[in-house]
Formats: sequence, C-alpha cells, structure tokens
Amino acid sequence: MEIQNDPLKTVFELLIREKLNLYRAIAIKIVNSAAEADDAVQCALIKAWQRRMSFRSEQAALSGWVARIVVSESYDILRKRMRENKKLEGYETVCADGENPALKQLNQAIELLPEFYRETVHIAILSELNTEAAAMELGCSANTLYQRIHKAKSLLKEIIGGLENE
Amino acid sequence: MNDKKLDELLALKKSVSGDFSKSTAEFSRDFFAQIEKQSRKRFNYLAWAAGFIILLGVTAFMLSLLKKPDVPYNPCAKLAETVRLFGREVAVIFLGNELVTGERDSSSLPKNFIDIDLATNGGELNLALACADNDSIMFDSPQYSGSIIASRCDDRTLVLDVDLTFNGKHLRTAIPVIQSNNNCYVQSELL
Repeated sequence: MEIQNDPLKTVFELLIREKLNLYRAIAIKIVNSAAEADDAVQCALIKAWQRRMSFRSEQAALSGWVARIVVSESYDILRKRMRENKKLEGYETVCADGENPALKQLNQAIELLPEFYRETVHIAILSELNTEAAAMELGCSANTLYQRIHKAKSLLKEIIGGLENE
Repeated sequence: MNDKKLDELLALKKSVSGDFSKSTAEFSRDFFAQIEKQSRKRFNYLAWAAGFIILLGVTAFMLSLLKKPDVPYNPCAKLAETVRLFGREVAVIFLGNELVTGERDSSSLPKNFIDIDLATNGGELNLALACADNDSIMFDSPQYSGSIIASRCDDRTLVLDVDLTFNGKHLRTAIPVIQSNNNCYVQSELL
C-alpha cells in the first residue's frame, strides 16, 4: 500500500506533532547530542511504523511504546559512540554533563539499571511529564508508577554506593 | 548517597536540553521520506527476486527444449535391425526382454514383424518375432523352447500357432495377428 493512502499515516503525523518534544527530551538526556537524539527518535518511529498494524486497535499504546524504544535506541547510539571513541587513542569521552563526576556516576548508574527501571527513570523522572501523564504513557496507574519510581531511586542509590566504593 | 543528593542530581540531569535544528514539520517530512525510501527499497528487492525467479524458470524451460527427444520404442525397428544382424537364415524371437534365436524353415526374407502379448498363468509375456508369410520356427534356449508356425490368411492377417515351454510351464495357443502398419503385425481381436 502506498504511504499516502495508508490510514495510519495520519496517526503518525499526529503522534509526531504531539510527542516529538517529549521523545527528544528523553533522548537528549541520554545521548547529549541533538543530532543523535533525532536519530534515536526517528529509529524508534520507523520501528513503530513497521509494526503499525499491531497498533491499529491500540493506538493509545503506541505513544508509550515509542517512548520506551526511544530510550533503548538512545542507549544503543550512546554505546556505539563509546565503542568508536575507545578505538581512538588519546581521545577522552566528552560528556555534555561536563566534568561533574557526580553526574557521570549518575549516568553510569542509570545505564546499569534493569531496562524496566531505566525506562521509568527516563520517562517518569527525567522527562517533562508529570507522574499522571507519565503513567498514561507507560500504560499503568499513577500509584503503580509512584512505586516504580521509588524502587528505581533505591536501586540508583545502591548502584552509586557500589560505584563510590570501587 | 541520600535521597536529597540523588534528587538534586536528577534535577540537574533533567535540566539538560538540546538545540534541535529541525522543526516538527521538517522532522515529520524527513520521517515519511525515510519510510518511502525503505518501502521502495523493499519493493526493489522483491522485484529483483521475482525477476530472478522468472529468469530461472525461462532458463530451465529453454534447457528442457535442448534435451534430446525421447525416441519412442519401435519393436518393428528392433526386429528389423536384429534380422539384419543375424541374417535371414536365423530366426529371431524376443520373449520378454530376452533374445532367443532358432531355426527357420522358410528361405524367404522374414519381412513380417510381429509384436503381441501372450496370456500366461504368471501374467502377460511379450512375444516379438520376425517371420515370412508361411514359416516354421523352432527354438531351444535354457529358458524358452518350442515352435511357432506362421500361416498367412489374407493380405493383412497371419495366424501364429505357438507351442512354448518355459519355467516348467507349457503354453499352446493359436493367435491371429493383423497388420497395423507397413510390415508390423499386432494381436487381432477375434470376432
């Protein structure tokens, strides 16, 4: 079917119009680069397009699914960049979080979280969404999300404590 | 690390923002252009694959035409050739796939080529022989022995008097044969 005639084209146009800023905000906090953030968001949207038939009857779930994939794609881009940087001798990884060692530690800790809680941190804590809106994105109740946030923060403190002791 | 410190760090990280060069409309346009490009690529792969399969099919068809055509089995030709090899004095008979040679009474050229199936207890046994219009053939091989007497009835019909012994069995029968084409004779249906 031609894309112009695809009935889900309008759905995706609306999704981009309403949620692009949210997806960009999620991505940039991981990759710290606007260009790479846009790459991550576009990859996530392309994956969603390829699976669009499964979202035909569950369009509300589409936005949350894309948000989670943005997190995943962003980390893939970040790891790829770090691997490429390691190949270059004498090149130090520069992070837009500056040389703040505490922030570097936080980044490391977030990356070490299980995927489920990593998504919670990026979508519910670090994004512009309030808890109720984030709960809608993640397809759970606000109470459930409060518990997840609490658990994610506990895990972060544990991991950071471990990193400080190394 | 305590909760307060962690919250401060998270708030600091939350403040990170970026300067995006593309507007929402531009991003949307680029996204659908990418989708279109991927869709065309997929179509091209399918078109190439289909073209390749069609080409394979055409090639296979063309090669099949080059194959040597099957030569149809012609018992008359086989008998004629065997007579040519053995000469007119020798009687040539095919029983099943076995060539049996024997003696002929007639000195005439064995120009009648007969191909029939004998009904035996064990099933049908193919009998093919070359004989003259009125001929008497006797044969004796390890597997088959007996005699066949051919008599011409009219322009198109011969009668064979077959006396055959094989595998411990004995067969005695009279079979009319009718001309099918040229010098070939086949079993005639008795009316």
